[in-house]
Amino acid sequence: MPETRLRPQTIQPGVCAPGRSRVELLSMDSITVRAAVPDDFDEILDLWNSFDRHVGLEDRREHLLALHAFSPELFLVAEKGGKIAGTLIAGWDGWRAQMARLATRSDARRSGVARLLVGEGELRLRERGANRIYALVDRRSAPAGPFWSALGYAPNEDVIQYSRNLVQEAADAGRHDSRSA
Amino acid sequence: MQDATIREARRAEVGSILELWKAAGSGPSVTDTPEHLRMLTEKNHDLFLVSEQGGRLVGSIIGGWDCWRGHIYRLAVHPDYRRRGLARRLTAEIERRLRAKGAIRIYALAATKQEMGVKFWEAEGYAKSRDLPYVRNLDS
Repeated sequence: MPETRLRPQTIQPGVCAPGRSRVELLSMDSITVRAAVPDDFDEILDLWNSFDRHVGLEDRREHLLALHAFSPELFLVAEKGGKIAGTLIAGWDGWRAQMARLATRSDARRSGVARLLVGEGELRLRERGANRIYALVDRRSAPAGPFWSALGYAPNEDVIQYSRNLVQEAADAGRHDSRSA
Repeated sequence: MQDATIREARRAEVGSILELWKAAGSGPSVTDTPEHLRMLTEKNHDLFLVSEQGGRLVGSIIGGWDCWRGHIYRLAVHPDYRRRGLARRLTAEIERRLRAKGAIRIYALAATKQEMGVKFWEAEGYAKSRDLPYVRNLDS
């Protein structure tokens, strides 16, 4: 019997329609979405560091350990072929949810990894009581906006995002102190 | 006149906080309900601060900590109590608490319609981000 008849429910990568069950989504094309564990952290850091991106803050293992200790079920990885294919931090602070570090390994793109991660993150956030989720989208990234729009996210042009880097400030203050000492 | 005090919000005053936000033009959003605010006073009590002067609630700020990044929400000062440095004091106190929890970066949103908000965050050492926030409300 041809294999196609044995597996009539095979879902094509990248066409993950709403309404499918969680089990089907999680096993789509052998991509598994699960909570990250400390054994993954080196691979996760390698993945993040493999991207050509502006790094204002160094990602350190201790940060991942703290996050894992705080909300282990909201720090997700996608696994494909025994390797980590993607990551998502579904942050929840009790008031708003914030999607961070949505990343897909370059050779695993266009296979629905990011979509699976976001879907699972949303499920888990909803279970925690979140009902408003933010995702920060780099304006220079062409695919990012359409990706989030397709998942029901709308750009909020009424606000401007500001941020303050406390580590950089501490470093600057330290340099200043050593000069004046 | 005595300075306004800053303290943690109490469960019994969520109605006054919602009124303050209305008067200050903050929000509203899907979570502006007494239930959500009461939950916040229980689960997030050390990061939900108000300012009181003469028995009146005149300011608020919410800090968010998801153990990755810090966030500031709902910095609000009643129109009658502005230009006295209250927003700055509320921000400094929430920043102190976020930093103590381990925050290395803090995000804040400014409304584009209110030029004051933009000026305020820039004066407080915040830099405009290249990122555009996308948002989704989940059906409850």
